[in-house]
Amino acid sequence: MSSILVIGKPNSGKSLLFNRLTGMNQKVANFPGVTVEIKSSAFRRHRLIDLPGTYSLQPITPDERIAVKKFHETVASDEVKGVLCMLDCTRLERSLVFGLQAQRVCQEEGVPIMFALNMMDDVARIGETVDVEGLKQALNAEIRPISTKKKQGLDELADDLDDMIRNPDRFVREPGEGDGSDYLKRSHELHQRFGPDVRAILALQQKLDNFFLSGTFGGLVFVLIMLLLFQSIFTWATPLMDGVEGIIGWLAGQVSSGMSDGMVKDFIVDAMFGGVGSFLVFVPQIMVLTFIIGLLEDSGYLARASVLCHRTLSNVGLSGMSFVPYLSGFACAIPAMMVARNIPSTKRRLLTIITIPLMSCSARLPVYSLIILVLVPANKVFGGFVDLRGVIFFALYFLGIVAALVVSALLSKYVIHEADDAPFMLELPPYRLPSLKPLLTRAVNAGKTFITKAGHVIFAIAVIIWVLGYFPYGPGNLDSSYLGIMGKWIEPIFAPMDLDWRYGVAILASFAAREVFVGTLGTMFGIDGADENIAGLAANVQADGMSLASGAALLVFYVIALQCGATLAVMRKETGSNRIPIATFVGYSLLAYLAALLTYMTF
Amino acid sequence: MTVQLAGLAIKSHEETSLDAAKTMWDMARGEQGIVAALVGLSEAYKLRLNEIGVFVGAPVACVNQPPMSAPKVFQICDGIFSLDRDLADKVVLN
Repeated sequence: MSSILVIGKPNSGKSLLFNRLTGMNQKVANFPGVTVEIKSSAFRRHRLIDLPGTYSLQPITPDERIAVKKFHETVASDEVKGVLCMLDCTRLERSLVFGLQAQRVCQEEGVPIMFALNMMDDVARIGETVDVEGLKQALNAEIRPISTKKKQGLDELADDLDDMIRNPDRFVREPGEGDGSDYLKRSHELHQRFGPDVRAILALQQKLDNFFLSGTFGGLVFVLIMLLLFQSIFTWATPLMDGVEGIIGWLAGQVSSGMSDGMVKDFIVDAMFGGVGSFLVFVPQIMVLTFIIGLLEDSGYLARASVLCHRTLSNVGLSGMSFVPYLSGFACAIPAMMVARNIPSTKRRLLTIITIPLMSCSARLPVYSLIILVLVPANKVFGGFVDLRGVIFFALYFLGIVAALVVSALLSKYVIHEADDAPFMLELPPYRLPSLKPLLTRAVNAGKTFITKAGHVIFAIAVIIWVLGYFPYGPGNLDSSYLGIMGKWIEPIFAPMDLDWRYGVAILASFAAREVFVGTLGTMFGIDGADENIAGLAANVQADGMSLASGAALLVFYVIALQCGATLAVMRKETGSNRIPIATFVGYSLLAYLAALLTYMTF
Repeated sequence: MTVQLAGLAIKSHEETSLDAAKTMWDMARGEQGIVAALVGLSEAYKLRLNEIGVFVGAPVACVNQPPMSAPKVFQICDGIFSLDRDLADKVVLN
């Protein structure tokens, strides 16, 4: 199978084109450096390889180094039969700086190359155009004008790529004018001669920036957007959560009424509906969170937020570039650590990676939700506009952020002494109106991934917990079951927080995956006879009499504890060290326990 | 070159001149300037600034001064970039 390499400067639309041509759902966002992994997929009879974007073949960040190394390796090998270089026609000069360097390398290696001139619709909207024919002749290369967003010119581009593989000689040409050494001067000249006048686009961007980055409103708008993000997790997801809970409760009723009493029925009701079912109730919140983060990513606001945060984050050893990995960490720490590759400073990147697990990822959502539902009434505050549960949610996320900043400041001052050698430089992309369909697709995929990834672990642990809790005396005898006997051994660990052995078992089980906490607790309450309200675990825990101090301690524990094996594995890979993930795990576990104890004592 | 003399840091004539020169960081919002020199930068960053359009003779404009002591925002060629003080202070203007 012939491979085609897709390259270009950051935020030029490579990933969206890759998705359009291959039918994949790779993450795209209106933020430079969102592609940090090399992705490949089948396209017609070929294979497309999407590289992270880079401004130049002289890299300064880890993600650029990966892209440039892979580019040189693949064009020098027999693996790649052609290169497609994306040019953003709203940033033609910057795109050509990279495009001209890539064209020179391809010509030296005898690899065919062609260009796709993307975002033609943006230029047309301001009444401008690109002299494609003139640029073609000057570059001595094939150029296909397209709009990946509007799906314009993509069929023609696909045919061009086919042609590039079939007739490579047609695409291996001497680069046009110049000797290739002065690509900076040449890109400027080419833009002047053939490029559009994009002052109207820049003027619009400036108008919006005057608001979002203004001294008066900038900081306030930032806080309001963050508050809205966490409010929406509760307010928008509640009807969906109620719906899922209703369906699970109804299904449990239907299944149990059609079965005769016995072990099989107990297993299905307690482990399946009580354990796995109570976890499914929280999936809509994960989808809403993904949707809102996607909305911010696609709008172009994230780069502005990074600028606004830079100074504050710099004071604790981080960078404005840490903001996007942190925000991604609210969904999942694993891709967030990879996004940190576009932080040029080694020290700031390391501090970001170590502190990302303190961002409350979606796996914590079910735990937070459960305890909040148990402890916090569904009241409206601030004149009825704000949901109190949403405020507590925000406070928990905020606590994670504060913990990350404190840990980073301490590590920066006392542990990681490496000099910071990389200044802050970030391109602010144009604002764009996000498209609804990709956002919805991304949200649904996040829900699906969450279920498939965590589902089997939750199911396996629910089965183990059910077997240990059901035997030897059957339902209603959880205290004297094998699980009860084992649970009482570990009871002293959590007894100082007035959490009995059932919570201790759920906490320890959740070191396999945080979401397991809810399923484990659901299974145990099911065995213990609270199965009249299968999916209503919160009501069962409430009836069990959890105190405010114990609940708050539990929440604080989950904000800090690093209970995710996959996160530790990626941390090891990204830092190239065994010591860092081990120290981080031990450190956060101890800190979580002590902070939880302190919280209990305070309440 | 900076030398230590009786505990005081004495700067060379060249450095003193650069200190007195106006840099990108000194630009107020709405102000424009022409790049005169890039000083005290590693080759990698000098090249990267060249590649984004900051080279001797290039026009630059400060388009925003965000709150919270954030890096300033500049229009450089056909793009909008945010640069912190460490970087913007090393771009001397005419």
